Amino acid sequence: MRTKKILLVLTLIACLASPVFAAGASETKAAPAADGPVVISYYTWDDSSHKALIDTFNATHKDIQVKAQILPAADYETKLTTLLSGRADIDAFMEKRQVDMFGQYDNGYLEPLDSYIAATGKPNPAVEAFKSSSVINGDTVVIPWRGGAYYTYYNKKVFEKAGVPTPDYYVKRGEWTWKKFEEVAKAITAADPSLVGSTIYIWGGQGFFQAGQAGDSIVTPDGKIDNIDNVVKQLEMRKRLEDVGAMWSLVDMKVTKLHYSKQFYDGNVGMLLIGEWFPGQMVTGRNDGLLAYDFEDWGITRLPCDQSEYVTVGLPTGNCITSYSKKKQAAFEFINWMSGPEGAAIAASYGVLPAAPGEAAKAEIAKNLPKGNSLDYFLEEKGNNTANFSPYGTRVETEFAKLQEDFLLGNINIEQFKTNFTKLLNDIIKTTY
Amino acid sequence: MNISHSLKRTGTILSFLLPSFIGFIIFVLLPMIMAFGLSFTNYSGGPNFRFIGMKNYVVAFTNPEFLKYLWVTFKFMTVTVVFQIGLGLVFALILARDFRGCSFFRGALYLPNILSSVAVGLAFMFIFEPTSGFMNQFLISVGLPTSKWLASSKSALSVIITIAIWQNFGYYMVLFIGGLQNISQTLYEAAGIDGANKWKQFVHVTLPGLSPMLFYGITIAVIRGFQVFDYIYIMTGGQQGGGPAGSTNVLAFDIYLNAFTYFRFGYASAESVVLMIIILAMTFLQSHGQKKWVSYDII
Repeated sequence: MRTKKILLVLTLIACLASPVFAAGASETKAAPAADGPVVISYYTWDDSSHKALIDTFNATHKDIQVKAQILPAADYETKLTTLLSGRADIDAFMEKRQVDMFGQYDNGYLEPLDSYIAATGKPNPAVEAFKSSSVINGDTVVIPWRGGAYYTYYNKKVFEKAGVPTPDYYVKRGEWTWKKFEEVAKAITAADPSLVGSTIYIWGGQGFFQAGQAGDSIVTPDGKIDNIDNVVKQLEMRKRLEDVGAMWSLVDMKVTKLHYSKQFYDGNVGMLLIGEWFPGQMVTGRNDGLLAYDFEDWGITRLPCDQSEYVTVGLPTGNCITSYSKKKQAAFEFINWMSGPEGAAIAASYGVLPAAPGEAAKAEIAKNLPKGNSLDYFLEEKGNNTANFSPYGTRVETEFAKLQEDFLLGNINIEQFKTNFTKLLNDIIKTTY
Repeated sequence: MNISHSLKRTGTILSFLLPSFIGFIIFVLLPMIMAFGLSFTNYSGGPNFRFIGMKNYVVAFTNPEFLKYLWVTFKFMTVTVVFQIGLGLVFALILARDFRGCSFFRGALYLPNILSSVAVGLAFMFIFEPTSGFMNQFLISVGLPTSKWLASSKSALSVIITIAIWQNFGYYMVLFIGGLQNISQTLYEAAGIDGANKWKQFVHVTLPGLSPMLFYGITIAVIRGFQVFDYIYIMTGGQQGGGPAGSTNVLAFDIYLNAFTYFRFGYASAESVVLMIIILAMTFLQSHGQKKWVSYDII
């Protein structure tokens, strides 16, 4: 009798649950219409350049139409994972946090794109430019659309006020090292304590600039701890700069949610080390009247570098195709177009650095940068390393961020940081299963 | 006739219960069963997962960070319960009596409770801004030293606890006012005739009369204390790992990080099961212990 009751309850639960799980599956069965264009479902976040790309593609392609599913940028990664695990109707999607590709690849959500690229008869320039961050286990899983590169953005007015030469002066002389960066940041604040020499933002990955340039992986994709000396070196530099007010306090930025763009717009920061998307934010700042100075009063140059040959860091942003899509060829044509010359030109008109900028894109980029040598540095041929691109990436960054705060707040010394960081990396490797 | 009537009555009752029951199964029971099941796997949001036995639980209990988050959760829960219930009781005793303006004060103290925790968190984030926030400006104006508030690993948790107490004690106050108004005046009169002073009346009449409400209030406050997440997420770093230096990370926040930032759903499920067991155990202990101090027949 008791068993019967239990069975009855379980049957009831199963009956009630089946429609919940069936809902996701039924969506994937939607077949393309017999006539008319193939409609693909494409997921991305609320970015004006993405919308312009989709609109242009739809206007210029009669046989394929992109149905955009725009999610808010905040928590995009979480929503995407939930949608993928429910096998929602997604043919292609923009990857926001690149290291998430490892988990998606392991779960079989990503379609290898090598055969599609081969069918075009030529290598894809965007993939070739960012090969190390586009390939997992020999499979090309993403076509980069936006390039990944960090630069030094500087405010000419702040340098003028402090009476210090702008960073491009040192770049030209081959002296733009991390030591010089520290020296310059301190000089700005020393000249006028109301000025902050520099800003490196709060994201954990921002602590790996020097490590990335040196080619250190932090944790290698096969689970081995790499050299952490450059992480330590950068952290010590940050502390020295924060202590004299020559770098914006990381903890203060975090708890007050003070965005790096706001700091730079306000005109009190000398240098900001941030990625290739920032010119787009400067254009937005100008258009929205947020800049406390003239648009021509800022510039772009190289990231400080201690290597014999200049190398920057950064991961590209790209598009993937789901392995369960019924319209893979159409999805590929769209994402391939997006990273091609036409897509690049549209992206560039929004201040974005395309992964493979053609001539038209370069002309567009020039319109969105201040005059002078910024364009040359923005588009120069350069090495690009990707520290922390591994299945452990997100945990390493977040856990590092906590330890970094412990050190910056003076709760631990640098030796304790080294010991704790090594232990932490070991724990992450051991508990990633 | 009787059987038919009885069946009809049962049918009516079931038809009223069914919507809630279905909701309970879909939104409570099923996720609980699934979380329990997933806690024995390495599920990361996709079909390629496997059964790993107790590994997630072993990893959790051998991880000092997990134990630290558990300790922070206990601290948060204990302090908020003591102060929310204590302040709720004190203000209930003051405001249970009718006097000019009592409704205003009751409303004013209850008001924070109906505000969204997110809005409250954001507002207090500006008040406790570490450089030029209102609180530091106030301290400077009266010649007192300033603090880093949310930007210090030593004070961040205390600030959040204070805000949680401020926002929630009004709820318990209203609850206790209801309880106090239900205690018969004749009991106080009888106690007075027997020579009991105000303190004795409070200990021997008010507290026993209020004990069912106190029991309910403490139970709810304990559960809410263990489940705290929103203040931590909004006020100290959200997806950037909480903080500063993980000082405000409670268990619910670590569950969120593991599930939705690291996509370790299996491990996060194990942490959720541990949290659920703790809450169940505490509730059971309270329920079991109520026999010793809760009086349902004094009113």
